[in-house]
Amino acid sequence: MRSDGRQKDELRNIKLEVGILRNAKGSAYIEWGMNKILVGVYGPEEAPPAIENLERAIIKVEYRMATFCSLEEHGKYVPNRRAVEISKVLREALSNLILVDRYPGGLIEVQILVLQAEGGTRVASFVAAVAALIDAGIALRDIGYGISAGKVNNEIVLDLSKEEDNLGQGDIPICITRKGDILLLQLDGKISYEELQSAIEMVRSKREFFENLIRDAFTRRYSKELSNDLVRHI
Amino acid sequence: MIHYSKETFLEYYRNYTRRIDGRKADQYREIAIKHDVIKTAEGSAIARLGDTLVVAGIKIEYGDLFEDNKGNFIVNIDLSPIAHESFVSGPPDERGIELSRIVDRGFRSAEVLNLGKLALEAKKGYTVFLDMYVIDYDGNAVDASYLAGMAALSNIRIPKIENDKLNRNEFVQDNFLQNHVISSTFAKIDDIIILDPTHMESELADVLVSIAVDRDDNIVGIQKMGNGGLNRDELDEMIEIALKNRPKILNRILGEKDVKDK
Amino acid sequence: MRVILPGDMENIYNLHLEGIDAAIETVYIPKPRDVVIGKIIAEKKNVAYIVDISSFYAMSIMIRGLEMRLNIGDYVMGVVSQTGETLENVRLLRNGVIYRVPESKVGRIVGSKGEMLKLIEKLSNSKLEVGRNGIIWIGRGDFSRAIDIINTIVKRAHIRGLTDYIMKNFGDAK
Repeated sequence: MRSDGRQKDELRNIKLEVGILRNAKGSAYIEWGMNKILVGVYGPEEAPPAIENLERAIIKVEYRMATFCSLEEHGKYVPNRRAVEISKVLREALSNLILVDRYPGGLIEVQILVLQAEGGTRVASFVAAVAALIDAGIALRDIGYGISAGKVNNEIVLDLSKEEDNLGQGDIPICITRKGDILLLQLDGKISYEELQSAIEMVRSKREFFENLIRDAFTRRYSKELSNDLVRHI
Repeated sequence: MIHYSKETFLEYYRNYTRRIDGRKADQYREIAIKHDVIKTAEGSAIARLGDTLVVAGIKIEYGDLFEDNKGNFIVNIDLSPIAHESFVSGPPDERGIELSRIVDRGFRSAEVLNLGKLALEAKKGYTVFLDMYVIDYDGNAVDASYLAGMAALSNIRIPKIENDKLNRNEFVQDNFLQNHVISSTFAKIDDIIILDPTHMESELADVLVSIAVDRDDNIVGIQKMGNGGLNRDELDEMIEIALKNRPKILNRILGEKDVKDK
Repeated sequence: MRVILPGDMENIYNLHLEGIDAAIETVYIPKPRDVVIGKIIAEKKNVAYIVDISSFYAMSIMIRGLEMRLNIGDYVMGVVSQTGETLENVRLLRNGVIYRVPESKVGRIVGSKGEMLKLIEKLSNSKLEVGRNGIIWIGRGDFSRAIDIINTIVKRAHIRGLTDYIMKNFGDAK
């Protein structure tokens, strides 16, 4: 039994809303456990000559954490090294999902702001980013989702809580398409090959859950008049 | 995105006595406020003014004081790139810095927080970081930030000190809030003065003026922005409207205190 | 109303509503003969004007043969040429209000045979030009009323009985 009473493959509570910002072309807001993350997508607009690629769109991802997002001390105003790395791996994951050939010379910008953090922010950001990209009308080859698998007390579990991340033996964030292509894969810890396979399998088993999560968010949006007030949902 | 010229604005106003979004000259957009929305913060709120949206969060630290017997109070407002296509990440530009300093001065002059109580010894005490993120922008970040900041301050929680360190799980039972600030921002387009300008209206304005007042009708902050001039009558008119708005907006902020997160 | 997500089926890469062919959220990609509205953002001296049409590449207006002088910041309406990269039959949009809507809602705003557009114009006493790229020019009339009606259409584009709803809420003479 895990410290918060969850089963091995049980996820924390997740809530997803889309279309909650007015200026961004697409947007999404996710609550996952105690995480609260906002994503806004701009573009595709014309990329500046210095960075443009005439054959495909350039993807830019900025992952930032609000100074008040941690239970601990006041954060810094400048992105730290962890945030820079997360921006990179998320960019690479999303670049694979977006049909970049459709927007040659274009620039797509994904802005992520973590308002409240409690372990697993990068995978939660990924799910919200996928929803925001769909909201923006940007063509994707499939939907994607992510879960932080981990090794706690010598067994593989899904969706590490902050405590499990700190005290466990391994943190394995995985982002994957519905069809099973791995877009993001990292390891912080020590595991066996079998354990890695098990983690990936367990993450794969949640594809229907995330498909429903994203589908429901858009169904809710289109079941009534389009307008979504973040003040109501946060 | 909306775009129109100054001539279009003026002609429409002269014909309909309304702004392009249908408002009267002294009318605010819709306001929505929710308190205590960020549980990792020691006080927080979200405020929406029309399509401008600001999240405010407070973080408390403990350590050296800049000024003897006075807690530290630092306001920082981030014009986040998520809010508008023209906002870029990086160190704050002059707009972001000006915005932070305007709101800082308003709260400080009104002594919204009893900074004396936040000093535990002459040289050691609490630092209150009031940080705000503008996450959607359609003009008047000043008033929206004041709303979010004021609402966050109204649910501030000061952690106890144990063994010379903060215990963020236990809070001091005391009242640190001793005033409220309401801000009204005006734009002057030719000779027409409008309240709570949108982004487009701000771009067309010759002058923008933000006036902050406290609950006793003292003026606790003024900032004139823009290249144009302002005459005495115009300033008087703005101050009069700002004071008139004060009770109504204050009730909105206080009233929302009962809207709990879920 | 069930939504169809990217990857649900072969060749589906955008969000769709079940039963509706056109994607409910898309990005505008310029096609020859499309009428679009954009903003002049640059000039290549004596060669061309560069027009931002809120897509991932800008259009050009060749200066040779152009009968007017344009300035940066001007809004223009034009037709996408066969090459897909230049605008022809350019018209300068003076005064009025430029308003942007999601390009996927343009169809609904115009209506089949343009009848929704005529309705907006009638109810707000205005004159509209609608760019396929989602940029609208309201030439004259009651701008705020026109915008209210357009916003209502955008918010309820996927809901039945839209025309009746518009008539009910905006039908009274001002």
